[in-house]
Amino acid sequence: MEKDELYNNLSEIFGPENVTVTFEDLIAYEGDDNRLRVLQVYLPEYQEKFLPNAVVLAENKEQIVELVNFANKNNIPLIPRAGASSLHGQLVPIKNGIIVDITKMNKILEINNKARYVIVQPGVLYKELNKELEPYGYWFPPDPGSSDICRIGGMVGNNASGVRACKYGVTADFVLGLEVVLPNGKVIRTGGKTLKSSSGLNLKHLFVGSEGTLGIITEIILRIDPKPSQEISIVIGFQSLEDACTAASEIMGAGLIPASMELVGPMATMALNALLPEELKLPEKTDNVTSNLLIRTDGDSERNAKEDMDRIINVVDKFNPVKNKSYTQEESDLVWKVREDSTVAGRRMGTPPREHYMTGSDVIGDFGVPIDQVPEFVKGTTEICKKYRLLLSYIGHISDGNIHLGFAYRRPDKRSARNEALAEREMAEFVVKLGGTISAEHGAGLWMSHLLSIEHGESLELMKAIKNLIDPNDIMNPGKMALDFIPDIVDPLNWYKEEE
Amino acid sequence: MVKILEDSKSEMIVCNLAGYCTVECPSRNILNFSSYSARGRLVLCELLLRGRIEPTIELRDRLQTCTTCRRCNETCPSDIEQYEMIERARAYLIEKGVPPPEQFIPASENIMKRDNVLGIDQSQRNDLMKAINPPSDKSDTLLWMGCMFSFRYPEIAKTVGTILNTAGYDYMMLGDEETCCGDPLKMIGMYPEFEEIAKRNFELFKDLGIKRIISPCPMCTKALKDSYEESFGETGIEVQHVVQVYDQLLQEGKLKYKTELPISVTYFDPCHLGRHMKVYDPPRNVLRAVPGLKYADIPTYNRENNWCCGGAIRIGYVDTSVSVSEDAMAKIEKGGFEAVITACPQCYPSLQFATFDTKVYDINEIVAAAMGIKELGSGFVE
Repeated sequence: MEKDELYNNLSEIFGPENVTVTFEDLIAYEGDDNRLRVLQVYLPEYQEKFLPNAVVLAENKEQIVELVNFANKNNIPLIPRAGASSLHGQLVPIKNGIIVDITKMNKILEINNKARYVIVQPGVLYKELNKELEPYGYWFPPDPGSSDICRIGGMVGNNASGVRACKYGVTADFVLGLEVVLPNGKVIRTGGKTLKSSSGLNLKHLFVGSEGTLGIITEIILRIDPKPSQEISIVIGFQSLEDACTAASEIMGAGLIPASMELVGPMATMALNALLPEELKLPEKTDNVTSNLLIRTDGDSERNAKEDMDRIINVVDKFNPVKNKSYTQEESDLVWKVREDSTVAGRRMGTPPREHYMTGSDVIGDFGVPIDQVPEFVKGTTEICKKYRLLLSYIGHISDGNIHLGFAYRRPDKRSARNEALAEREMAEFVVKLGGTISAEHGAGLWMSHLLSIEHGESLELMKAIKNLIDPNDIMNPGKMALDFIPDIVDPLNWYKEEE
Repeated sequence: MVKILEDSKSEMIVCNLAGYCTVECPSRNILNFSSYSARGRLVLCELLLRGRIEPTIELRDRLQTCTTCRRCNETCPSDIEQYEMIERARAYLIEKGVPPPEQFIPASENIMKRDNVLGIDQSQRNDLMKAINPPSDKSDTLLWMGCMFSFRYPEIAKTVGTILNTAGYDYMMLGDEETCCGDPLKMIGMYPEFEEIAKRNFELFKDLGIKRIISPCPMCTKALKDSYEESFGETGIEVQHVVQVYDQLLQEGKLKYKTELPISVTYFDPCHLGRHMKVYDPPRNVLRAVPGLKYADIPTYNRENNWCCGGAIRIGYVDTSVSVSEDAMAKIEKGGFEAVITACPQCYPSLQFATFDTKVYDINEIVAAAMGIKELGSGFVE
């Protein structure tokens, strides 16, 4: 369809002020995937291949129904988009199409603390929802690293979680009901306001984590939980990464569940300390420490939180802790904020004057393994990285076995990027052997899609069949999660041949 | 020389596209598309440098609608100077032949040909100086009034003089020798023109032996301090906003409050005084010391988290600017204050145009009223 015709059709649905087909707008949407941005530097043949044809700002369900009918009739892909903080290429318009920005659908429709639910539109900011829940003593706890900017629709689409998942769960655990516009234009409501239901197939969880491949979510009913009023935090330093991992799994083995427990490996400790003020720095090399566990407990009273923390410290004492440091509430807020920001801020480690030392990569590994397998996971992944001459940083939610790997390489070029992707594939095979998952919270999106068959085997075929049933014309976010096809750009073997 | 876009290349690589800068971006909140957020603008800057996009009018509009509030810099976990990059990209576009918004052309011509942004006869600056009657003809401290206060709000300008005179503070003024500081030119990317103005001003300061400049205008203060230092290196001139002087004079007991002002107020941090120059406490100290004044910060949106008034883009993009002002006012109104006080000749009218019930004062009006040297006005456009 010609640009003007597309613009006119979309303007009729959304109003001209809510539609753009201007190149300078469209390219900003292509360019906001970091991995694609870097790959395009090495691989110019992929430049401008993934431009959307249009971007629309949706304001209500009725517009979305009209849009879906229009897209289906004209075979135009639709890519739903909320806060755009996803990390695995979920939003790359791989077959072009229309970006459906739902940030204007940002109303909290109902807060019912007596029945413990909220009803929200998908564009509601996570932090705004929790701010509104504060006076009721309630919260929606999954706490992704992007908590300042992510929106509920995106959290549901990616089944997001973060540092509090071990104790409080992931987004899926809180989704009670959904309203979804299906690719055929029909609107379904699945689930409801009740805290439990055993009636029929659990369709709502089919859409949670579906990354916009099955429909567009227009309303969400979430369970809310009472918010603990007190928190305390401590950091414990260990001589080795292995000691830290073993101590973490022993804490869980003793039946203790902290509110958060983060593994901060050697490079990550350096990265965090670069951002923290002197008095809050984590124990480091000068303390004979390489790795840290950052632990938070919470409760309705400081005493409860402290009792939990004391029990944790007792367990840890058997695993050679070198140094620990407790934080006041105010200090702890800053330390956890820096922890959340560290994944992105880590890139600065690779910039001048250290550019000859290493370059922060755009790949953030998101593997999850059973927590008792974390020491094995660390050993295995370190070996794989040696083989590919990559440096690796470990930071992650060790309390649920979800470890983020930050790759770094000495020379930023196509070959290093390819090595990184090959290492990632080898790690995926290793992780699955350990009983783990290739993506614990970031989703498969585009960049993990070629690894899904390693984890899911025959189940992937069923997933494809479901996608085909719901979206036979493949208009919903094509090229993601291996549900329809795996785009060329995903496979590192296409990027660079050894003989080049 | 001011930094150019190419100098920002390594900063662009540091950007992880995390998007923390998108939610709090005042212009994106109005214009909605990602290309109008700091993240989107940075992507456009990078693609421009890589040659993937051309310098166009469309690109210019996406860059020039940035309200210069610098909120993006504050939210960035990687500490990237996003605003500065956007400003440099504006200059880059002009260099490549894409003119700034046409509405700005008269203003820039006024600055270059008539020595002030409004194009008003410079002799009015002499009238203002005469009315203020500064204590010295020659002093190493210069009161730099700025175009907006001199011509648009001369009554407030006179109040500034009266406050300083009453407190026995020594300073001189330039009368019609005061010109534009050049900041409006730099902000839209007219770097060579800014350099010309700045050089002329800086030479004058050197000739006069100026050691300290004080100004009621945050944009002038920022330009005379940071931008001139960027251009000429260490200038040897201390530059302060007048609220910093008032705070000091209060502490020294030279500025005294006599009159109670029993109203509930808040303070709207001007972007150029707050986020650009990190001056947060002095205005609060000045207000908290006023007898009877009930002071509280704007809920959530205060200090480095404050919203923007949108004033900086009023000439080029009036609709967006007004909408940003309305957003700011809505956040202020949530606090239920009788009045909002600011310290900037851009914020002052922007908030006045956006308000319904909340009174808007310049901080000089409050200080003068508390000193008992001037009655407090209505707080609305008159």
